[in-house]
Amino acid sequence: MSVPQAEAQGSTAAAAVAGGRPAHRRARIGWILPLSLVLLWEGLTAVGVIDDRFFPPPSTIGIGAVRMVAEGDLLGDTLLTITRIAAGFVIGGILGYLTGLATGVFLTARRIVEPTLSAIYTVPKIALLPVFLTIFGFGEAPKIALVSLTVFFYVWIYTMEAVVQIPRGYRDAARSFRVTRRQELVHVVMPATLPSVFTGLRVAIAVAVLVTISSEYIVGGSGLGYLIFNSRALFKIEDAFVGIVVVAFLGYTLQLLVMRIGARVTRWHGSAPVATVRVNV
Amino acid sequence: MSEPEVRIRDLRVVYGDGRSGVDALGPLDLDVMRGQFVSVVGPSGCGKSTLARVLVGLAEPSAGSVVLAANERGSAMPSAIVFQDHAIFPWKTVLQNIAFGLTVSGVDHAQANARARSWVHRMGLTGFEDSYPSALSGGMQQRVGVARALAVEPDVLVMDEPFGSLDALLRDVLIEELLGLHQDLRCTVVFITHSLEEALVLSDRVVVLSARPGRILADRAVPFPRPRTLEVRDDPDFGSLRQDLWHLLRSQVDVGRSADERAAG
Repeated sequence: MSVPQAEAQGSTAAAAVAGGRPAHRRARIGWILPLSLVLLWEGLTAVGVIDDRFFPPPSTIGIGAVRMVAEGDLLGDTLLTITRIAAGFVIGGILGYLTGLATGVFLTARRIVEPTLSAIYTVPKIALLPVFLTIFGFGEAPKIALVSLTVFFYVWIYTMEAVVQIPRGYRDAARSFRVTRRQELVHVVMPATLPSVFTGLRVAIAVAVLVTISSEYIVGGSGLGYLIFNSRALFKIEDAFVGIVVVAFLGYTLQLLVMRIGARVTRWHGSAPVATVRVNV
Repeated sequence: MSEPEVRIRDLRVVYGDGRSGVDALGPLDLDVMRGQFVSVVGPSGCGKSTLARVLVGLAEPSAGSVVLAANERGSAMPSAIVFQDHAIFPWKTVLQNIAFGLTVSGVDHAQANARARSWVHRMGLTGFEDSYPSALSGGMQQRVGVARALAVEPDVLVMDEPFGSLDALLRDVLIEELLGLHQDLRCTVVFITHSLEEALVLSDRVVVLSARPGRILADRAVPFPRPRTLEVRDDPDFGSLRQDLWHLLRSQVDVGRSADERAAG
């Protein structure tokens, strides 16, 4: 058989261009807006348009962060928050993925659980915190359970929809080789759904941050959410802003991490997963 | 007289169930001899893809029987199929795609890879073993699809409009490649298409199906000697055979349309 080299190399070259330099340029463009806002904020406080007693300028927040790290409570609170997010993310993610696969693959399972899960899905999860406090008492359990539940729903729904939407052709191709159900799951269903699963995970990690901070805010005692709430109550506005900035960075970094892992394990996928965000806390 | 490789008797396929079922195909009788290349042409929706699906076990006959001689012989892979779209798995490399049928039927890893590799070379995909399909052109993707089906050494190769989504030039290239493959392998092929030209260039026999539910309207032997090239298109007999089949098909397109209009009205 002849080798149409030009045809083949042309297309790989095109693929390399599509995934190469422009992506970096896109990433750099993303820094322009936040940096401009920071500079604007700094400038407006310097000339007195913004009252720095309520909105301390970025430079003051930066100095505050250094002081808080030195005093030792900022890192501790950040670590606690990260641990809660991670624990909830792992538990909810695994359960959500397994439930998503099961309800995606088995129509009967989907029919049994879908109405119930959909009903719970629409309840703002933070509203369940009092219930969880009653069930689990104080301590880590209610917060982690709440984050797990939130993550569970996102991952479940994204996974289930991805399974349902696998083009029939892929399954037919596998079945034409007389595969077992297990082989179909491993070779088709699980890889085919990975891009959507990672989109779900990305949305889930963002919402996990939100839910963790909120529950810390409400329950109190420790974590970045408590730090923000408590500092504001004590009129340590600067400290509250430090907390807010750390949360923003945390959310950004965790999302980036999930996207990077997703891009790595779905290298075969043409484009990066794009989130169609449906936030429902 | 030897036994046919494919023996179809009184085959009917009905989609849906009971009174609301739609007759998709048949009743239909067809024998395909070992090593024969048979094309099945017919208007859209006549059930020719359904026939392909039945042959690889993706659809069940509602009535009648489909017997593959390979099944009786206890063959590991009596039939395999090449589809038009979504043929190959985007999450597997070229090599993994070609080795897929071997891997899932329990051939050990090293042997599956070795056999897949020989198909990589044969299909002119050398250097792309570890590429993902997204980096391949449409023509190369379809070569992977053909290699994946042939790698399991099926007794019957079923092809369901395999070149339908390729441009005309590329289609000609792949038709010539397929002629060469069939010349070498002498495999039994059931080739579904709506292109009379494809059918006549490739086949030993062309079977024309009626509008839905598909029944056999004509079953013509294609007289051109093998080995063949695309030049058979210039043969005067090619033109007259094509003309003849075209008239048959044409009448069916009108039948299908008026039936649809009746249903709509």
